Amino acid sequence: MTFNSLTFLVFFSIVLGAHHLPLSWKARKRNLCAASYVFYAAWNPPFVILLWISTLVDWTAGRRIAAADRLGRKRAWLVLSLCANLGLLGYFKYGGFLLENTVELLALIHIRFLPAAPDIVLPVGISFYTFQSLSYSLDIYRGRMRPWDSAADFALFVTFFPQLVAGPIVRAADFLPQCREPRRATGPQLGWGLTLVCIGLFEKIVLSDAFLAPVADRVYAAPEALGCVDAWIGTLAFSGQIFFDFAGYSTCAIGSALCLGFILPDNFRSPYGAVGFSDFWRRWHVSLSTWLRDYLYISLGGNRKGRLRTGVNLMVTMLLGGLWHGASWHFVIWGGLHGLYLMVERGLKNIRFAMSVRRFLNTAAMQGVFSLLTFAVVTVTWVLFRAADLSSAGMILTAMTGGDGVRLVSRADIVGVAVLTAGLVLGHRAMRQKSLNEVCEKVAWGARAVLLAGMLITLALAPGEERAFIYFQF
Amino acid sequence: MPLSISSSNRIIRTRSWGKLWLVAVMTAVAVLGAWEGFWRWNGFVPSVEDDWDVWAAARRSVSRKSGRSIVLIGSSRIQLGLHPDVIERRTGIRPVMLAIDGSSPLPVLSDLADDPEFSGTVICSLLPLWLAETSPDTGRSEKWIRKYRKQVWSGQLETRLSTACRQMFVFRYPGLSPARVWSHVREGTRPRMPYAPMRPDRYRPADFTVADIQQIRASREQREKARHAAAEPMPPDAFMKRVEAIRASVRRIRGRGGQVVFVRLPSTGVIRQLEQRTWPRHRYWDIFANHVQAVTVHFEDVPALAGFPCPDGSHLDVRDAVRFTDRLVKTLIEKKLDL
Repeated sequence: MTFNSLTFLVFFSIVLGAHHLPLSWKARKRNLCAASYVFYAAWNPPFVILLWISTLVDWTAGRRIAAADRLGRKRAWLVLSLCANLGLLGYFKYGGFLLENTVELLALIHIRFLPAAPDIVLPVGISFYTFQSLSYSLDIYRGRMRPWDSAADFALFVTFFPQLVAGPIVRAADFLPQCREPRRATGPQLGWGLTLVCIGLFEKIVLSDAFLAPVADRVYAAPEALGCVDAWIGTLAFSGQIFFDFAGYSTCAIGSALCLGFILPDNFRSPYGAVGFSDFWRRWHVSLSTWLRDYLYISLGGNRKGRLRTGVNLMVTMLLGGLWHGASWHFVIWGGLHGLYLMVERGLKNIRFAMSVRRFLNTAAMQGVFSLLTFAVVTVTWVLFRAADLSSAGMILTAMTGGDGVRLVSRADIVGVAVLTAGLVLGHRAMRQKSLNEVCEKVAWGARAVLLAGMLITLALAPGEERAFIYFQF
Repeated sequence: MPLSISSSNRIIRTRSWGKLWLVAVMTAVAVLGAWEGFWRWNGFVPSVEDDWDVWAAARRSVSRKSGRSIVLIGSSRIQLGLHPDVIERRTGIRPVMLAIDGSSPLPVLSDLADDPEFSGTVICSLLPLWLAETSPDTGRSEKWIRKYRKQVWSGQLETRLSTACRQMFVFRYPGLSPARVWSHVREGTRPRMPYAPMRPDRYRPADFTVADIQQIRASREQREKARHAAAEPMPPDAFMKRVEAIRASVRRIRGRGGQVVFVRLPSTGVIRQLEQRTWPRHRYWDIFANHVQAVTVHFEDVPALAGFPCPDGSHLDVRDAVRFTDRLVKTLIEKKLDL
């Protein structure tokens, strides 16, 4: 059941209606929890058990860590939580990948090992809810929060359906206090929440699926015969597609949670307007990048142990961040490249330029150039993310440097992708310091109604091809 | 992450959210209503798009039916050629259309044979192609069966809802999406209603009077010529193996009280000539009919079924489909089939 399905429309209407019934807060929270399990069971009912395991382990580990009088015991319970969550993730997501690589490694030393195909089905959203649940135990271990007193609230935190399968990854300290007081959306919250859902669906169904995905799919399906323009247009189309797809999901998640009176953190802040890569990661999939920063990078020592160690820590974090996206080497390389960019950027920032040079580099024009450069490098790096395998990625990157192949994209596609990309980049540049609601506030009431009507019309007319959200596979 | 930076959640100030949504929804309804009216005025009617999920819903209904049921399997020839309303009128049973366009029905027959809950009547349209080509295209049938078996409750519900929407609104027809309409505008052409739109029961009444019949026939003949040129003659032992596999499926269905009938539906003109040349009847159909131990009906053998024109060489027009179906059901009853 995805946000862009009619089933979700029915489901959400029922949940919203039930949430506004004159019931006790406890009963309404239980309704939300039950609805979240139904939402997850819509993919594969037995996998609800995994949610229960994650919930039970971290609920118990949190309490035991807080109650333990010795550091050893605290550590033991934390290790249990880590093993359970990362074990689930490792088995379901990386089991096949590990086996495949073990076979290849053994083949290198002439050992022939032919295991049966593992045939493991990846439970949707497992990378998101294991990280979310794990952060609770880690925060208690670090003394950042006390164990929560209601198991029902904790179960709702792990399973809350708007962000269950593709984030934003919410921290317990942000979500659980919201369970304390009865929450029901006010009129303006409901209005803005529904508007966010509408904007998110428009991004996903119209901009990503209807406009950009067909072009990207056509180009990436034939990497061996690409011309330079086609390779660039296909990659720019994917760059826009992945943003509208994932930001669309996050916007729907934030909007639907707001309709229920809950507040979720932002996940995207105009990432294609970023100046530099550290800025990009402060704006792209913010809930994951801050998770990796807080629980991995800082745990490794962050930037406190010298330049070399900082570089290593950055690289390890980004390599694992790449691997988080998918059990494949091209995701690892994608993460590694971003790690490399961050290291280079850090090195450049350490150079002491003369004041006049610094002033020049900080001019609006130069910042614009750096922003465009960041977007270009990020876009080229998406090739590794989108290509089916490393050899396809190699072929597309080669084509981008001047390939001369069969024309796959029409003139209309080229114009459409170019206009949409330019609009996206310029829009993000203009919105660097602004949020969506600040921009919306400046739009006149009548224009706002017309825009909303326009989105509703295009959503109703958009072809009903069902494309899964890209981040569901992670 | 502190919630203070969750800027999307800061509620924007506006005069009235209720009024804003009311105006937006009313505008959207008015525009969509006008758009819907425009296309209906231009002769368009709601049409369901054929896909695996719609097929899966029909397939599921077969397993749920107890007692007498009629299932139609085959490819586009039966999907356009046998009219479910006529069968219902004649037999009192609403048939279920499980034909899959462009794919062999044999995997579907095997799937029905493996279904312990199925004990009805199968009317299988068997083209020479499905019977006698060395490697007939079974991809779509196998894929749809596989997906049907894995479909979960939410997928079933989604199919019901989206089918209901498509039944209600012409603008949900993919050929009228803004992108398609825009490409027509650019090319100076007009969107046309499909000449064989699919009904919710998966029957496709073909009205060739609204189609560019020359163009359809020419492209079909070109496609078929290429296919026949590439077709390899099937070795006799491989053919007999296939017949034996079909017979095994028939036996399983009959073992549960069901019955199977194989029908060869009409083709005409170049398509007919190609079929006769590549897969001569005496070498394949006649041998199959003698060995399969099920009722078989070849349109050439029944005077009432012969002589129907196929405007594109392969499919019946809806008006002929009505008459053909009526005569076929009569023929089957005469052959002592329990319908």
